Amino acid sequence: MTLLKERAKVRQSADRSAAGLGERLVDGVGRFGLIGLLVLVIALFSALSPDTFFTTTNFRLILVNQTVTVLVALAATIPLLAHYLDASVGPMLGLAQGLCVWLVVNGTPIGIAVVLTLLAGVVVGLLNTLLVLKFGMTSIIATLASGSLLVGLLYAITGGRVIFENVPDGFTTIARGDLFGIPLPLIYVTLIVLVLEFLVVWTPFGQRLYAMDGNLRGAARAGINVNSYAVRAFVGAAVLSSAAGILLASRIGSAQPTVGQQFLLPAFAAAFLGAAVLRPGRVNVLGTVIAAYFVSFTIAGLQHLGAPTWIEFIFNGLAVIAGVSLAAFAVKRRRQLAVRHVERLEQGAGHTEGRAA
Amino acid sequence: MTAPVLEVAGVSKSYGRVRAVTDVSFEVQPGEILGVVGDNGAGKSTLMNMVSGAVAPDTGEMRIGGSALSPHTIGHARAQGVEMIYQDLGLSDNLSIVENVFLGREWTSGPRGVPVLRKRAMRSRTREVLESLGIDLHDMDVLVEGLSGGQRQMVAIARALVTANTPRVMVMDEPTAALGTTESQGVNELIVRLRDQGYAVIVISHRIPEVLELADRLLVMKGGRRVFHGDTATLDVERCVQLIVQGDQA
Repeated sequence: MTLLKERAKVRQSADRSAAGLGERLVDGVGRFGLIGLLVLVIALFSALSPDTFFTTTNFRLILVNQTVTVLVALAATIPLLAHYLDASVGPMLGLAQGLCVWLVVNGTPIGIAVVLTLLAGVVVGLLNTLLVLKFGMTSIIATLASGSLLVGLLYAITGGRVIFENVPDGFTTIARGDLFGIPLPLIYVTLIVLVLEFLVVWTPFGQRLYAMDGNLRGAARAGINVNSYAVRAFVGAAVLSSAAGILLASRIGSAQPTVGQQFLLPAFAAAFLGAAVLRPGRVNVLGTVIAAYFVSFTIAGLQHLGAPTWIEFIFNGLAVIAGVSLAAFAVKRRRQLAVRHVERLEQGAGHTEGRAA
Repeated sequence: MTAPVLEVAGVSKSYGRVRAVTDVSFEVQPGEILGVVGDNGAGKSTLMNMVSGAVAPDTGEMRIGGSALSPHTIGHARAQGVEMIYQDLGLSDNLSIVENVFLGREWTSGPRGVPVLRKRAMRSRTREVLESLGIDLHDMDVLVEGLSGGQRQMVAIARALVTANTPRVMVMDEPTAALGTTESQGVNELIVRLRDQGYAVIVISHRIPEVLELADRLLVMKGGRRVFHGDTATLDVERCVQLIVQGDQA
């Protein structure tokens, strides 16, 4: 048997038995810990506030209210898969809600207004890509700058005032309606999550974005058109943010000149915290959704117990810190586990060879 | 002697006023290892970048299997049968063995426009290719970041062999530069095995004794020019170093 075989020949059973119970337990906690915490948080606040928290109305409210944040968090997640940080997702949401309402109150048919607003997202995504790829700016600086442009545009469109008059009823039904008793925003978000999860896990799209995160130059040398994938990531993020803006405007039936930036931190809190769940150390779609709902249920539960409104900012900040720290820990641990796993394979080979001899 | 699989005739490349490669010709036979040696700046990498499609030559002609080789990109060169394995291997640490092996050339099924990854088939094919090379990295889903330098090199080689359109020429840039003695031995065994399977392998190396032992023929470069192209049997380490340092004046 060759030297190479001696180093690596193993049996799966030997590997499984070698992986300690403790190690697998820690791995399981890492993967599913946040889901457990979410269940725990819901159970805890339900027990503490059974009359106000543990009600269908409240659960429905939290689930529906959070759909906008989930969409922005998913918008932040897509570029993060490839190691790009898009700080313009909040301002893009703001511009989209202002633009869409401005269009419909000025007589644009609702469908066309929605399409034009989504197209504005495409333009902003292309602008971000241009700044990163052609001007060589880091993604965070490029998108902070473009985000500021978007905030300015929102003020210009709204004139710094809330637009609420002459908003057609048809526009508000986009987000206020139900289908078989299920609120429409939940249906939209569920469909978007399913499509994104499919794209990221079951098509080359996600794998190539992850590869860009791991080794951008290597991905390019593997024949991947990394610029094209950067375009898709930034455009996808901006379009999702636009969709979030349309949803928000439809729900509240108006456009606000100051909306946008406040969604940025919750979005990244969910994306980073989500990287510590399901696929530890990797930003992932379902992890983002779980993290977004973990944060919202916790904040809602605390507020039901009488916590002041500023608790939301504190908790979002803590979530970002915890998320980034946990993700860094998960990457370190993943590396250690991978090294140990290979070592076990090699030890297994040694035993196999010994028996064979 | 069989017909050469790769023929390079009089290629040159300049970057501005700097002449990186000047009028270099060489050929490689199928089932042959060609060593390429030279000091830093001798033009080895530029020459191989032209063969692998990373840069276009200013002048000269290249042929593969008798047909013109004029790759515009790395992917184009790969399609024509030239596969380059860079010194840094280009692997993504955060992906598994199978994900790295098929990166950029994933097997998919499903309707046009909706390519669904054939994960099981890719896993099976990766294992098959590795086993054909005498490598048994049992778990194809292990992350590459857990592998040793030698094992990573093997994954990079498997990447080159995994598609149905197998390469006719494999260019390996410093395949053992970052490896210890034992792992270098393992990788060199693998290169010999590739040669025995009929591949033409070009190995760029700074390790003169190692490449003299490994290669069938040698191309020595100095200042962008070819100073030697012939059987390794006609050279010893001392003569090879003389050629690298002094060129054809040695």
